[in-house]
Amino acid sequence: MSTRAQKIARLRNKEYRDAFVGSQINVGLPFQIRALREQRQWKQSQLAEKTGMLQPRISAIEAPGGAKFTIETLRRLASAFDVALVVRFAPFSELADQSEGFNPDTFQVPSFEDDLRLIEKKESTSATTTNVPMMSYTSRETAQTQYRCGSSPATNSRILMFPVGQLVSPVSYERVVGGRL
Amino acid sequence: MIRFLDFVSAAGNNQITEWYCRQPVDCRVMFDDLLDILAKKAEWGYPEFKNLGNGLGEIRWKFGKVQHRIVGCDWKSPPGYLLLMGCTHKQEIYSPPGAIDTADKRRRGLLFERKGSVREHTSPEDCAPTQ
Repeated sequence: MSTRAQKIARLRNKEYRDAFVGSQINVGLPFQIRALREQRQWKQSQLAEKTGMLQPRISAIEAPGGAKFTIETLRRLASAFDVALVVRFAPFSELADQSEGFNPDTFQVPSFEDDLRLIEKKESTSATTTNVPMMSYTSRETAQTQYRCGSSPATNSRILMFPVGQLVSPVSYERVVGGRL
Repeated sequence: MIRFLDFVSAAGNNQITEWYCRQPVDCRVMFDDLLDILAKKAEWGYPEFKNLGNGLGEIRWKFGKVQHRIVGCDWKSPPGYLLLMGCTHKQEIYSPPGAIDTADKRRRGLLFERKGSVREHTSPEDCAPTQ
């Protein structure tokens, strides 16, 4: 087990950084997928049916390092769970924080229906407590912001299943080490 | 949070650190991340963990085309999960051969003969490059 300080120290090594990105996909994603399936109380065979895959494939997907993920596979899984899929480049500090904070026992992503109920509840609460007009971003605006921020060649990717995306400008590892880390 | 412990031989060699440093960096990072997740997980089960019986269990992951295993057991003092032996597994055969027996001998040696010791697990930062 490594502490955050140890992880940050290792991130100074480029080989480790590259491996860390891979590991977050190969180890982190299987736990996310299993947590989402169990949250919905589905069997592997039910998820297989919803994704158009075979049950042994789902079994492999849920094992650490058991499957190679493609964006298409993740898109199908996200569709089955009815959640969004965020694929974007991010600074290592964010990936380290995400890794540190991830707990498969508490990881939850609400499906669209549940997410919508939460949004509507939040909106009605905000409308009654404040006179400030609410701002909402369309998916097109969100996508444009994301692409504008994603032009740095020295950024690193992460994949996460998310109900609502939160945008952070990608920052290179060197800049982060000089600053926040 | 579950604490991980390493088996240290009577000669003072940390067998887990030595195994760790022999692995390619990608495999090491997967192992680190897997332990980070398991430390927070209340219940371990298939596919990342398998009970081998006789008090032993194995933490499982795949890197490349190789199934990796760390054989271990629950430990009382200090409390935690003791990592006894790193190995690979292919078609019911462990490598190095007799890995499970070795892990069991280490556990029994610690329990009944005070042979060796345990140390809190930390992944070393100064492994020599393997690739």
